[in-house]
Amino acid sequence: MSNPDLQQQIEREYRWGFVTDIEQEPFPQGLDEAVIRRISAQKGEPAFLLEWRLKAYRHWLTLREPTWATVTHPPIDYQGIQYYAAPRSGNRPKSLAEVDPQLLATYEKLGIPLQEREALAGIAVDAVFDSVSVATTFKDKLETLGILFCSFSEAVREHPELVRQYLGSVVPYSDNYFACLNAAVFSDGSFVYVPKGVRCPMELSTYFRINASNTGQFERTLVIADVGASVSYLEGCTAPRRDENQLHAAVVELIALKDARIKYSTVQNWYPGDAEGQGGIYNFVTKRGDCRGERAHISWTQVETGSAITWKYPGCILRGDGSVGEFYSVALTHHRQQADTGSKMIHIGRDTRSTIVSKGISAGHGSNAYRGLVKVLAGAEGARNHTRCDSLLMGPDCAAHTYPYIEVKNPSARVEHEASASRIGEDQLFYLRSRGLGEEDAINLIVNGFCKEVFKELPMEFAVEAQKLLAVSLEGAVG
Amino acid sequence: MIALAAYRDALSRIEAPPGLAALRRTHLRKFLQAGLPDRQHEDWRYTSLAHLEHMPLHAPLAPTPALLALEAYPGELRAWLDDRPVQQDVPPSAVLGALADVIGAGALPAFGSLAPDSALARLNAALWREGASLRVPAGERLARPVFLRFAAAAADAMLHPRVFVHLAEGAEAILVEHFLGDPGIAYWQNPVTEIALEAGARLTHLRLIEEGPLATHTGLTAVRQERDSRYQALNLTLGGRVTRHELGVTLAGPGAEARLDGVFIADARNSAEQHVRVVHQAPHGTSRTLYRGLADGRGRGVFDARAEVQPHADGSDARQSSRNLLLSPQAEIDVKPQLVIHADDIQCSHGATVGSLDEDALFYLRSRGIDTAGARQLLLEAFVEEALGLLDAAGLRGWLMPRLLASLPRARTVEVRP
Repeated sequence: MSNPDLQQQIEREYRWGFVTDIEQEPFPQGLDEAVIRRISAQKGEPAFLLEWRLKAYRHWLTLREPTWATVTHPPIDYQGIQYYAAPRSGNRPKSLAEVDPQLLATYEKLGIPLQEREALAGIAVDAVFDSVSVATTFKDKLETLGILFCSFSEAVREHPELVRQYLGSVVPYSDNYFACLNAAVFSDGSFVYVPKGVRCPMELSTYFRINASNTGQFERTLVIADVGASVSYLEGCTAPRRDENQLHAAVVELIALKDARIKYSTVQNWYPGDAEGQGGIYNFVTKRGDCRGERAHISWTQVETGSAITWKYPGCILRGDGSVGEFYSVALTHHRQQADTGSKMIHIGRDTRSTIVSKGISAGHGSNAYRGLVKVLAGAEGARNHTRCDSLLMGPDCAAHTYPYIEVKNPSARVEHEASASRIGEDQLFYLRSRGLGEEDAINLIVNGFCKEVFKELPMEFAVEAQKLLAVSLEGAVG
Repeated sequence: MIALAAYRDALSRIEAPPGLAALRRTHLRKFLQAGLPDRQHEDWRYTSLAHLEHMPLHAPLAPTPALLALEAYPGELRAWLDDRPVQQDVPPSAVLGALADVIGAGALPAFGSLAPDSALARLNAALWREGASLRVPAGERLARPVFLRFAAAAADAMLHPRVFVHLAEGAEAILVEHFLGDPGIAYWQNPVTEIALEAGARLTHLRLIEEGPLATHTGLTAVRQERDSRYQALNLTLGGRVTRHELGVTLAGPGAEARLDGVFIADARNSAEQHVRVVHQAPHGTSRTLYRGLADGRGRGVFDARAEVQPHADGSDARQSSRNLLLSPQAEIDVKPQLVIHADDIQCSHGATVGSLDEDALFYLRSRGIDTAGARQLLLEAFVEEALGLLDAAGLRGWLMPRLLASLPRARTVEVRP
């Protein structure tokens, strides 16, 4: 069923693979306490934060890299990584006009012209270029509502009390190997605080971009929605082409207080490596939300098409009575990509509810694993969970795995899990083709239908982007 | 600490069959190097065997005077008490014999090759003393079910019964394994059963765990199926303080079919674990796994199933269903239904639920004049009935149902949520 056009499509170069030539202010490779002190000093951090970093580093030294995920990769040389890289632009620009034009051009190529977005889409973009935020837009508009949306470093300088109160309260530095590493060396990231009763009037968005060669990126994102507040946050990524594997170990912490609502959406399109599995990003991320108050609501939506290895389990701790956790995911692996992803829902409060919808697509030699935990503690009277995970297989060499864990300690809970795995039906394809659709369109239609449940959770333009990404990544995968 | 001496002592007293001594020593050495599996091990995260290390375990030397009366079995019975044969309806034959004799005669080349390399399987391979060999020649069909009864009566006994089943091409048989023991004593049964089914062979296998309330049971069944063979199993766990059954089925030949049903009941402080592994190695294999679990009191039920489709096992069809009821606020159910797929032309699915009895159904039955206890009983019976489809064809319903019904959690008043 293959045809040369499709083959061409699928083998085409990674569109976003280019390198912006900007002078770097490099750190030596390797990691020790001196490097951590230097990162902290460079960023002018308060003592408590340095202390926290060092504690994390010392704990990290006692940990071993986890091996339970169904992924394989050559050993990572943690001493061969440069832990901090900042564009040598001196002081932070005050407005877009002061931003290095070359940086702006980079975003242009990625299709996120800041000004245009500002005008057309009404999105405030906090763009991370390697490790330092270069521009934050719409800040003033948000400030009038009392919403803080800034880089993490800025939050540390301007609002240390908030950072101190919430940092590490959802993902403690001792949580896991990669979260611990992140806590020791995190460079920058985004910080959002939405005060009591405020509904954020626009989607907040960060575009991450890994640029400097051989630089691990360790973002840390902290989103706090105070009582009755609501916010929707978008995260999207593209990375330039590299031959060496790059490590990315981010941490995202969400905190929703009583009646608060946080929606966190991700489109991840980092360089997946070439067809032989050379290069590509290692994406080991810890994401967790904490519903601290009654009726809090946290929703994760992710579309993962990039990265050589994805290792991430966004979860929700449903502590407040009546709180709600949601997880919607599409993960696509092609060529030699490997994904081990899923969700954790911990039901602690009464009448807590959670939903997990996970769609995995494996093509080529891709390997896709869903790994999830639904845990209902004894006090979670009336808890409800519904989990659905489906796998779509394309080609005889791909793999799909499902490893759900369900642990229930309350008899009034109701937990349901269903999973299926199959390939695109020949009959479905035949039917669509008999109606005049090309093979490519037919596959796209089927795949989009397969992912529809997740896409409808994405904000509008992300949904469009996500569909395009899938189409590009999958064309010709069935043959 | 673990009584290493007890294992070595047990080994030193085993003589039969000749020729296995070196192998047994190797197995024991490997077991002792690794020790009993602990909860750090992913497959053992829900089970602790730590209590075994504090027991003065020993392999009973002589059969204890029979404390357990033999009940009637509707078939051919072979019974062991504390690993010693106590009754044989029929003299040993080519079909049903004592394992040590058959191995001594070199008649079981596949013996030991089906069980996995796990710690407890190794321990059994090192220390088994008695067991049965069931060999059905090509094309033959055993008229009556074969019952193997393994009972324990000596306190702190450690028993490692072993069974080997070989069904030649087109052979058919019904096998029932029954594990039980004196309710007043603590003991440990660690049986291993290996089953080889040649092309077109059919085996119906019922495995009943009715251990005493202080007993530990860590059983393993390993099955290998050739072309178009059919293995139908019903695994019932009705009693035992810590019970665990590992069932591994390899669909090695094309078109092989496995139907794996089970019911487990964990009440009091018991934990009942089911581990099912189905490996689709050849094309067009079918597997159906259907388990029903109940947890009451402070019981803990665990259902862990994995269907694996290996590369090029096209046309594989694997389905799992696990439904579980939590009947008390202190009970726990843990479910791990996994799929591991390395081919694309397949159909795989699993469904799992954990919940409690449907209050609407209870209310309906009560509105029809059935009291709460009766209604509850009725619903529980209906719930487990879904997994008992094999009983009628095997003609074992009459024998099994009274035992199963007696084990269902006692009717209590329904707790109404405030």
